[in-house]
Amino acid sequence: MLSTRSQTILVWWGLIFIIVYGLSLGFLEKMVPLPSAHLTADQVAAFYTANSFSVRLGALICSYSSAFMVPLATVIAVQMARLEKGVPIWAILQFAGGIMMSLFLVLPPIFWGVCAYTPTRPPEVTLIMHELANLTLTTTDQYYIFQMVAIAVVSLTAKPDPLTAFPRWMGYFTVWAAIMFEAGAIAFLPKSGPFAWNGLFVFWSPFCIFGAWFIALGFTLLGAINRQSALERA
Amino acid sequence: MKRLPGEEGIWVLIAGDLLVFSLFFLTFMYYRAGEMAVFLASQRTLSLGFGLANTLLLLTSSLFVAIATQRLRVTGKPAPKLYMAAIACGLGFVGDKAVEWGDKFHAGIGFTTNDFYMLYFAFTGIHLFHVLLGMGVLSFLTIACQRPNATTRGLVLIESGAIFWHLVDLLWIVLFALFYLVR
Repeated sequence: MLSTRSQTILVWWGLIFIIVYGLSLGFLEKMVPLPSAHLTADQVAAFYTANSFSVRLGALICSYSSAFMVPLATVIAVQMARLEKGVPIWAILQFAGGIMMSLFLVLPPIFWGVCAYTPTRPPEVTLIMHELANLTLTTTDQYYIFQMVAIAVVSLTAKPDPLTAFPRWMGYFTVWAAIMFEAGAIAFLPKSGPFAWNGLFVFWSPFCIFGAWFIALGFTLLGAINRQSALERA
Repeated sequence: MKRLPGEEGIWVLIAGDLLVFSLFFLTFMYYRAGEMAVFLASQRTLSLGFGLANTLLLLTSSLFVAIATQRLRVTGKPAPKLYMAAIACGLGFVGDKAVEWGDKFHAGIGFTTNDFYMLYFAFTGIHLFHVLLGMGVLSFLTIACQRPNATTRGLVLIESGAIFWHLVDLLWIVLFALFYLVR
């Protein structure tokens, strides 16, 4: 199979999985947005008792689809490597960041699944797993940053190339997304307001910005691969 | 036709940042409307002098950056010292902020004190992160303006960096008005 054809398949694989992940996060896990951090242990336990099956089904689907960054990071690395001179160090860094990030997308669904697995246990035990899940989801931005910095550097420093998957605006868009992601880590401090784990700047803004960034990147990649494949066949 | 300064891409970053900071401002006004008394009382415990000093520092630094970039564009002569002066203002801003925050922590005021201080530390903290990034950008401008291509191909990149610093300045001015001045 032509490499460009394989790359197109991998990008679509990533795009479809992120949509499945997002939908089951919202409709099965019922975690869009996350429930208030002020819920008592009894209320949290009651939520998992009432939604036990739905949360566990969500855990199944979310953890399966959570690796959506793996195929995408692989294609991004290949596309970055063709722009770099010598050892493609930024492509490798981006790949490492993307792969590590997948870990923090699979962990929260697993933790929620554990919460719902035996919701009749003492409520405090469920609460700690619930808090671990929510804080893992919102405060783990460290690897995205390496992925995003690498993409920004290559977008902004590579020689102009009509076949590039990383137009300069994508470089600036990525810088902005990386800056906005930093706010996520604040979730450790407050329990209510815009910086709580269900707040505007910790939950909604990264949720929307990440979604928009991922999809924009998916389509610049598809466009570039398409142009490269036309050249390959010509 | 008049050319847009910098390259088109930088305006994606600027528009994105302005959008998010606009959300910050709306959030602040929303919480303020709900807890007017707490917000007014907390505002009186802010150190207006420190905020004002920081405003002047950033305005001055922006002036340095504008003069340096204009000089490069018009006369073709690099002015790395002006960029360095802007970095010095940035360092002053960080120092001022450190003393101001230290003062607050010492007085027992922190992120969890109330909603006013939560927003204050979060927004000015995120802005401080922009200042640190901006100082990195200015360090790059100091070097880039002395390269042989600084007046040709390199100029848009230098302009883009200067625009980012002006954004940092602009965001602070709005934050300053919002936290320290709005009565």
